[in-house]
Amino acid sequence: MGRRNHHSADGSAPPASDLGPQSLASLLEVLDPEPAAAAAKYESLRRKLTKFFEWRVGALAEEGADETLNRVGRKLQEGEAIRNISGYAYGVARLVLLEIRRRTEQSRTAVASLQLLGDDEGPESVAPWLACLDRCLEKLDRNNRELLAAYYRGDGQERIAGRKLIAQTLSLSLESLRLRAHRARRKVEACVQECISRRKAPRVREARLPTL
Amino acid sequence: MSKASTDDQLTRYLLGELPEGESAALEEEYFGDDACFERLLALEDELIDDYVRGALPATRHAQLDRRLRETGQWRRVQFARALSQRFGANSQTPRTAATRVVIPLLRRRAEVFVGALAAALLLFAVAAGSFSLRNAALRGELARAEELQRSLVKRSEELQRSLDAEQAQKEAALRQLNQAHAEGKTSKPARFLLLGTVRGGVANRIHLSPEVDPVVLLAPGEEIPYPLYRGTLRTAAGESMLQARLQSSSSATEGTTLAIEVPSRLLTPGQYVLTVEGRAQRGKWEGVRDYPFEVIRK
Repeated sequence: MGRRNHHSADGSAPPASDLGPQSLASLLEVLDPEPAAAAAKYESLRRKLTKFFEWRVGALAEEGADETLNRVGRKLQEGEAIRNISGYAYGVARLVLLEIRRRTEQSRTAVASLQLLGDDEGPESVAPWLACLDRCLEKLDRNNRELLAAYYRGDGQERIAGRKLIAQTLSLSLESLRLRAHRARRKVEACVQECISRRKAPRVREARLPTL
Repeated sequence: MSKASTDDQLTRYLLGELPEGESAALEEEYFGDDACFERLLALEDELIDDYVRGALPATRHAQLDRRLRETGQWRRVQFARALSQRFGANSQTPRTAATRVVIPLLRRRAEVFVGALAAALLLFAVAAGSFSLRNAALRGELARAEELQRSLVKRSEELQRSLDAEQAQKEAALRQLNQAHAEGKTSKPARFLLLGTVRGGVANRIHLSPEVDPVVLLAPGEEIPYPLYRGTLRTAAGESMLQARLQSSSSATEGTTLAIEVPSRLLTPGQYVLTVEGRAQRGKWEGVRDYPFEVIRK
């Protein structure tokens, strides 16, 4: 599903490519009257939608999430009263999911090209990732850094025993420890992804320079 | 997803192995529950870690491999590889803080001793790491307490500054008032009840003396059913001068009235109209009545 040629699942709304300012304002207002909280809730909803499409259909997750938000925003702008915005968004997402599946069936070549993209990125060296990881771990606060080091230490039984002991020492359940490690990991991962993007950017520009 | 949902069920969802009905129920739950969603994300991390370490069964490895390629998530895999290399069993680089000393020592001893002794040392090392974590947590709490204390001191200073400013404003206002009294510029408000439109011209006349300020115009309100009112003051030529929300009040002498306060200086001698409009909670403003009046200066 492309971003410029959407069709509504229920057939009632006209196609629209992006969430316009009015629709976005309506959506934010419904999410929370306080602007900063509304922005955070918008990001959270978008993340849930993206993961939903990712887990359900694989490809085109971002596009599916954006299309869902477009439709929800349009409905709000049209005056539809929505009490449970998350539940409503999920309902719309399921309709969009059906459309994506239909479209994916129709154009397998697009998926094939996506798979090729994945193959290309596979053999990349891990060395720059380690360099970025070290840099990002240095920036991380000491508590989280030590938590990650302890949580991911070892392998197999050593790792399992270690995690149990950490959880006992911190008076946490294993589930809570996992969530705490996940939050710390997310911070580092975001930093590392940004670091890698910065490293890659100049190479892309060089590759596009014409050769004499 | 209820709390009874096992990691295995959630993992099956992440791999697309869960039946449609169960998947939909789980999705409804995580769309409404951030904690549930975060639990899935954390499990997904572990799934990718297992994938990178080759710890998944072949079919699941193939499934996840396909999904990661389709979603262009090779970067997440690379990150998991880096994390595994840095901290995992085959880590060849120095470990950070707590593990830096403990684990290499443990490894050397583990090579010398066998079986249970090695396991005991391993647990000791992990415990040391854990105690270090607890210490780090306590240090963190102390730092947060200090930060809180600093912010309270800062807030207290801000409040003091605010109080000082307010005090200064009050003193200035008091000075102005004293000065006005000294100059004999006393003023007093006056209330005028307006009657509705009557045949034969202007029915209301307001006689204003110089010391009157402000002028409170009152319109009878008992027969008016709206919850909200506004008044617009216009010249006889229709030029709008002032518009404000009307305040409703009741008294034994005046009954229920709607009041608007007008600065005396606006009311030069001449003819005016006060237009009263009413509005239902979510409706439009509707005209209620016009109250023409004439101002005569003494």
